[in-house]
Amino acid sequence: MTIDLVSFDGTERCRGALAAPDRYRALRALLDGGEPCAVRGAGLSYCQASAAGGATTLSSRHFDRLLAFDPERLRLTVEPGVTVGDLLRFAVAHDAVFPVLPGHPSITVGGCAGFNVHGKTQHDVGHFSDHVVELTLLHPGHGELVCSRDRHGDLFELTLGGMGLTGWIASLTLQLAPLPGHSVRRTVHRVGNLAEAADLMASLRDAGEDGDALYAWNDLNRRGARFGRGMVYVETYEEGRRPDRVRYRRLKPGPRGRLRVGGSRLATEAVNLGYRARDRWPGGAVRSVEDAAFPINGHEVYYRLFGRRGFREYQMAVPTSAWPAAVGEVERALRESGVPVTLGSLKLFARQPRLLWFRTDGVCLTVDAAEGERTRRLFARLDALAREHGALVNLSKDSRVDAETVRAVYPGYDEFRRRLHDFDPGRRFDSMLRRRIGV
Amino acid sequence: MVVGASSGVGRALAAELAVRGYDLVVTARDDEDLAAVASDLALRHGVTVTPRALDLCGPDDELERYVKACVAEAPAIDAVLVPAGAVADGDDGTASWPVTDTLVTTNFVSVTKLAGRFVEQLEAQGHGTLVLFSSIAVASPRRRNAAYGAAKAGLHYFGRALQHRVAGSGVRVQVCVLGYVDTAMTAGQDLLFPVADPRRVARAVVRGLGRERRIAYVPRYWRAVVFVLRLLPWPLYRRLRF
Repeated sequence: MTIDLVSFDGTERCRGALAAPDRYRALRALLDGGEPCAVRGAGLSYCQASAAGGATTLSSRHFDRLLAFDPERLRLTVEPGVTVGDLLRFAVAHDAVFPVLPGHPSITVGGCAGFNVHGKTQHDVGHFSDHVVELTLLHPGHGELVCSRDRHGDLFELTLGGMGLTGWIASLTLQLAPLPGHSVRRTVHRVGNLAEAADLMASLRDAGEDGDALYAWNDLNRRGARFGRGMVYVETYEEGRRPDRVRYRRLKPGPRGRLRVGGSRLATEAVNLGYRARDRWPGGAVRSVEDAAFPINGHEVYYRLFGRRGFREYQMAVPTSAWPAAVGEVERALRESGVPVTLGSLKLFARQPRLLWFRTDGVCLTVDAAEGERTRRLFARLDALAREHGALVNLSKDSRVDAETVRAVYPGYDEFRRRLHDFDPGRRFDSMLRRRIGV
Repeated sequence: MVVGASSGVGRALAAELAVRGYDLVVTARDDEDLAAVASDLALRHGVTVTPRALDLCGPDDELERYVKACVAEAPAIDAVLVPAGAVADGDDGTASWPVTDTLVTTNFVSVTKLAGRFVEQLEAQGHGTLVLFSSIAVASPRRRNAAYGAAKAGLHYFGRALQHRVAGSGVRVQVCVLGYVDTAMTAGQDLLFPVADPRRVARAVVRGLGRERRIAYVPRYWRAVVFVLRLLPWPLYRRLRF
């Protein structure tokens, strides 16, 4: 089936063949067919990581089965199409939790592995790859390879965060953690600006008062001393009342409607006002584990606001030492661009960069804006800031960053490129993202 | 018992039955798929799932051994559902003989053999439901599913004949006429009507297990669609992309 495949942000398009095999026999036939492949989870990468001209996109949507569970060691083996929503639901039913979860339950485990994603706890428990014990990789040139830190360790490392370019992940064994409590209490700290938010988060972390998740929402449309005013959230597991089970909503890629209000100043103010007001409503302090883990669930309409032209997100991880200087320059760049920011947020990161993993010791800033010429100019300016301050740009969230910038900001770029080429010299696995960033 | 449980409607049926707490025997051709489905159902729903591989194009003694093993494993069977089936490209009436053989064997011959044996078992128990899966292709022949549609038409007839046999015995035989469903069979096809979610189809089929119904269109609106299609004059009908 040949269709238009669109990145989740709606800006990177490709017409290509999409196959959704539902049996291993069909999957192996496609992999061994000699044509380039692109691997697709839920299609929710903001960039086009699962399609390329001339390649067949292989959807993992039918490979969504739980394969094995060791209740003593809390190890769960799954196929790549299992959603993180199902993963968490299974884990909670067994008094466990997976420590690194992205914001929506529709995202697949395979997608998380492909980008070695972070959640809201990365400063404490690390990234997705830190909780993968083993994976099985299928590649037409190498056959079936079982990889772990001790076995094919290089390939294990390359595949986690390898953007689906090393092959088809047939299974992953995940290390769950004991569930500290069946509900989550959220404490809100109001902050006056972005610098204050980062300082508060760092001090909470240093004092051991960062709970089980720590993140901030910031209004980046305010100027001067109020730039980035907002809330810092601390979430802590607790026992007691078990909130009702949450209904998962489906987040889908693909074309959106013609109506586009997301880029307007009025709509942006409304979104930010709504966000601020939300925490004043009663009853929001204690929530179910699933509700707390997936803050985007139930708010899918946010992405539809941007209409067919879509939106862009910029996520940069700034080293701690560069953060104080970077804040002012980001504020100036946003002010001078005049671009309304529909979402701004902060997270703390830890550990040093490696390969193309979006990981550094510092602060992660997120900026959402409607697609447009001004936004592209703003993001190009943020690229320059990232290069100047040694900040990383999140490749999974960015459908325009070029090879030159990626090479400049990621110390592991050349190593990743070399190792990928050594493993898959024929480029059997491909994507628009790969071509754009030149790996 | 679900024959053809590794994908599509069969997998959704197995999941729906597991949600309702039924222990299952699941059957498909490939062990690899079967093992994955069985472990998934057991882990998610806490039911006992026994995988049993079977190639519907295999020899008769393999079918015979399969039935005996199933009966031994599940001496009291609540329901046997046989959604197994196959389609092929180029099935316009001129497909190669091996392809035609596969289509007729998978969709009709082997299913009738299994159905006959399982009906005997259900009659011996004095209760239970056999569900066979027909297709809207039966009511409205299409150019691209010639052997498939013919095989399903045979199965439809066979199911209705079995209903006569089991009348008054406590055993039910149901024929589900499936419309377009979002499976590998319909993937990439330019279809006149929307495809149904296999989970929705499975819910409708499983809900009907305890009911006195002989023929069910799933989704239900297909009964009306088929009624209209049958009224269309040939010059108009043959122009439909159907």
